[in-house]
Amino acid sequence: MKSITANLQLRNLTKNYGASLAPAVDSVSLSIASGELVSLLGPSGCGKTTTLRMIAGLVLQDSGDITINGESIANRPVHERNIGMVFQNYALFPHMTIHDNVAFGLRMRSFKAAERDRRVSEALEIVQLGSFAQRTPAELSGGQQQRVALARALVIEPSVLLLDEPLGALDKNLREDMQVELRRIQKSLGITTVIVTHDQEEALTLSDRVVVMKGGKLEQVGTPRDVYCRPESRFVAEFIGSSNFLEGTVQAHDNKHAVVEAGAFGLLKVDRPLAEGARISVALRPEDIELLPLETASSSEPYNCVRCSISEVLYKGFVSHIYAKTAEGQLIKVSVQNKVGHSEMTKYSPGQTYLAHWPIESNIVLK
Amino acid sequence: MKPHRQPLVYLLMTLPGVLFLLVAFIAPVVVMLSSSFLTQTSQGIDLPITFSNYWRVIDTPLYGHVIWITLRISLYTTLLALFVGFPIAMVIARGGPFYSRLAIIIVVAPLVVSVVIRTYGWSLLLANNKSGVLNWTLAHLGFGPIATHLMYTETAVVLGSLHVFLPMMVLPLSSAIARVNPAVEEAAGTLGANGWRLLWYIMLPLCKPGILAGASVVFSLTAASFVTPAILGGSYALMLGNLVEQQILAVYDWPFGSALAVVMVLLIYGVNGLAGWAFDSKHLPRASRGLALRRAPRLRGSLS
Repeated sequence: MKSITANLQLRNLTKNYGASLAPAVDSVSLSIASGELVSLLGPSGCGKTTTLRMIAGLVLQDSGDITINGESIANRPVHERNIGMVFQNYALFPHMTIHDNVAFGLRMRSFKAAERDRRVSEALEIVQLGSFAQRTPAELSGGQQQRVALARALVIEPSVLLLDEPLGALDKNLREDMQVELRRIQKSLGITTVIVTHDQEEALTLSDRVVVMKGGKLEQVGTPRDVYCRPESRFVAEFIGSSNFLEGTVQAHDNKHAVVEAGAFGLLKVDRPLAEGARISVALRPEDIELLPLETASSSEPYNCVRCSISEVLYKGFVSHIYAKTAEGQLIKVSVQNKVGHSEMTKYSPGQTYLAHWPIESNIVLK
Repeated sequence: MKPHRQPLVYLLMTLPGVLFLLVAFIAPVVVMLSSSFLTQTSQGIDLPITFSNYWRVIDTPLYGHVIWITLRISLYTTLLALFVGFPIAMVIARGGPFYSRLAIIIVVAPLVVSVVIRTYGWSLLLANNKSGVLNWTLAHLGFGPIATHLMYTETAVVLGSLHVFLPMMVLPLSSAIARVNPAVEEAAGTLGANGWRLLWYIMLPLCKPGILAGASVVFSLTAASFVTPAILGGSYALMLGNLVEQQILAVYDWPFGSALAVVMVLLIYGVNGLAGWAFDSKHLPRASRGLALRRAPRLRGSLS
């Protein structure tokens, strides 16, 4: 199976479902390189699925353009776009065998029977279902149906592969296996891929770049590391992972740092210069915070620390989520990693007082 | 209480229905069947047991001709109902709420009016004289004084039957279409199927149970109808139902009328069975027939 070098461009793509409603997709522009896997991530109603369906041609855009290798496909009907799509519930043809399901796209392209069979077997081998060709979809498990749907979409050698919440219906372990599988196939074929998901973990695991959407607009576009470690807005910091949010006013700065007065959280030092007097928000990941016993903590820590007392400890297996309160009653979330054999979990219990402390780089300044 | 362990309760629950069917359906069928093997005498129906009534049906060319007309009219009506009904069913199943409801009303509303009245309506429309609505309209459009002679033809019977039985096709079809996952259609589209191929490869096979149900009902009801051919067909498009009526009410030969009725019932069952068998042996949607099909696709092998 070959893949086509295809870069996908969205330009000011807009879709309104009703004049009285806010636009479902609002002037979205995005450039996806050939062979790149980009995920559209966001809560339901953020426009990610509508964007995907516009690329597929299942929804017609109100304005804007979609191009593949510079050629506009925005006004082509769905069956002339040469796009491979995997649907949320796989949408296999229930009245056809697995072989016929995968062969369908080739049949529509008038391939000769021999060539068709050869390609179908090849596609089924890629998704490791070679021996299932004569079964029907109902005889397959969810994970297997998922792989058939993938083979069916890939066998036509589409210019772009679109996946709509492809793993949403699978249980957790299977989902992780399929993520690895999907990534392997996508990379080995080098096929330009757009995947819609509301699962942040899935987006971070699979993607070359993550596109976070909100209210029909792009909120942030970046590598998984970018969007997790450098979220630009409170929405992204909250939607991907979990965060503490600290508000403050810049007091002083030098070339590299700024000091922020953050009320109950004392003074924060951030690793970028900011104008004095500016009101800023800082996101702080719970796993970046360390809880130091009061007796061992140097009492003279000037920045990035706050004294707090634990109000609740939630055991989650490999981590524990600890909810603590500052003297002023502000909530602070801390995650500690658990190790079997260590008693980290029993170490922390409600009522204890610790000094929460975090490094300068952990303060993420939001726009 | 564990209701599934008490078959007696279930038996009792079906009892009223079973009794009604016994009296109103099984008993008459038995009477009809047995009298078809008897002889009409001046005193009534009597022995000896004979096959002569059936021989008469087979032997007389007129009856063979009527059977042929009956099958032809029923087949045309069924096919027309399918062609006309499928798009309507599509609108009901997939259209917006407004159009869906409108289509249902248009299809179902005629059911409220009696068949006799509707059929007389058709005879006004199709009348073979200047005052027939169709001829009047055509005359005013410049097609000559009496452009059509549709009344008392098979075409008139097909039109009338189509009107009466269309809902029987549309309703099962629309529920079959509604059961097809829209994403399956979309998937076929992304794989390169245009509208016609989508219909041929995806929709029709997946709606096969609905098509068979609708076709079976329309065919059976048309083949057994007697009001519509009596009014619109006259003596030129005589159907089996009219022959039965003649024999029972006019000629007063109940055994022969019964034999004709038995032939009619057998014919309808035969065609239904044949159609069911023909479509069943091919790829039928799994959704409708679970187990029977499990082996079928494997047998087909390279047929695709």
